[in-house]
Amino acid sequence: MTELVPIKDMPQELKIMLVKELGYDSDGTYVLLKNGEKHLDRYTGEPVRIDNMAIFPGSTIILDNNLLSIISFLEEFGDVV
Amino acid sequence: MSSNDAIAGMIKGVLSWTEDKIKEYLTKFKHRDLAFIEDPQTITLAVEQRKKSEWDLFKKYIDDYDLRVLFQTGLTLRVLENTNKDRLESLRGRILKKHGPKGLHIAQFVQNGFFGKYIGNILERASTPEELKSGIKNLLNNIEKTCLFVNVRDDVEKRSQEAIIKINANCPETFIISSIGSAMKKCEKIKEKVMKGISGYTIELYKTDIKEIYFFNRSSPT
Repeated sequence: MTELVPIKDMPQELKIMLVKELGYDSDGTYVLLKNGEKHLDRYTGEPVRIDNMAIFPGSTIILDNNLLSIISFLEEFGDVV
Repeated sequence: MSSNDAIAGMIKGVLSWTEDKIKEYLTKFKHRDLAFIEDPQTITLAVEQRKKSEWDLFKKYIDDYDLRVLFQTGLTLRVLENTNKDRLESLRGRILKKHGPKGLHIAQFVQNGFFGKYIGNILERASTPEELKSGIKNLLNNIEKTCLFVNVRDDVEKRSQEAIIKINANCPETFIISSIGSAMKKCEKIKEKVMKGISGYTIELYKTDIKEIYFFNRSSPT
């Protein structure tokens, strides 16, 4: 079963490093695509903030950490966590 | 061990964040053994709903992705209404934005426990699993035509006419009029007026101290 690592207390600069390692970028507030556009949540279409992310493995899905997105993710990908 | 304990057991406690630690986690992440999440309570709450018996029943009959998501959001709203009003409103807002008023009505239908009552009602009439599946899908997909949620500020005459028009126009297999708390008296009055304005339906009531649901079941072919 997938281990969940809470990142609430992770310093912002390390969160930015994390998303860069995963092929994204950040302006310090939002997660950005490589072309500089804001990365949008797969289910709600909202820009994903660096301080409210949920990052799932596989195809590296970065979601906004809200209930609708998480429920939608679990329904699409099954009980991966 | 409860599901909470099991999930809590997976969650790391206080962590000392270093670049080396991040790289260690990234290696696990790339092997699909790890996920990062701002607030693990979000996923814990979502996972808990997928372990409930109502969900277990629903998922056997309904394949539709959106309906399945809305069902789980309804179960989640039910938890939040007693525990966290801010998150309740936030989730309601997102459901409305993504799935529209119909989606929110489906979620509220589940939130208020009406799904279980509906199953009890339809089981007496659905002779095969296919009929049960079809009944559930029709009810939820046409919830604006098959359900009337009565609010305490509603005009009895207007809502009664609304229900009569919907029933006569669509001839649904089942039409539901429901209310909670202080709206129950108005709901009873509306039920009386509707019964006088339609034909070919029998009525079944489920009532508790805080909610009531009238099922108008079609008794004659259309």
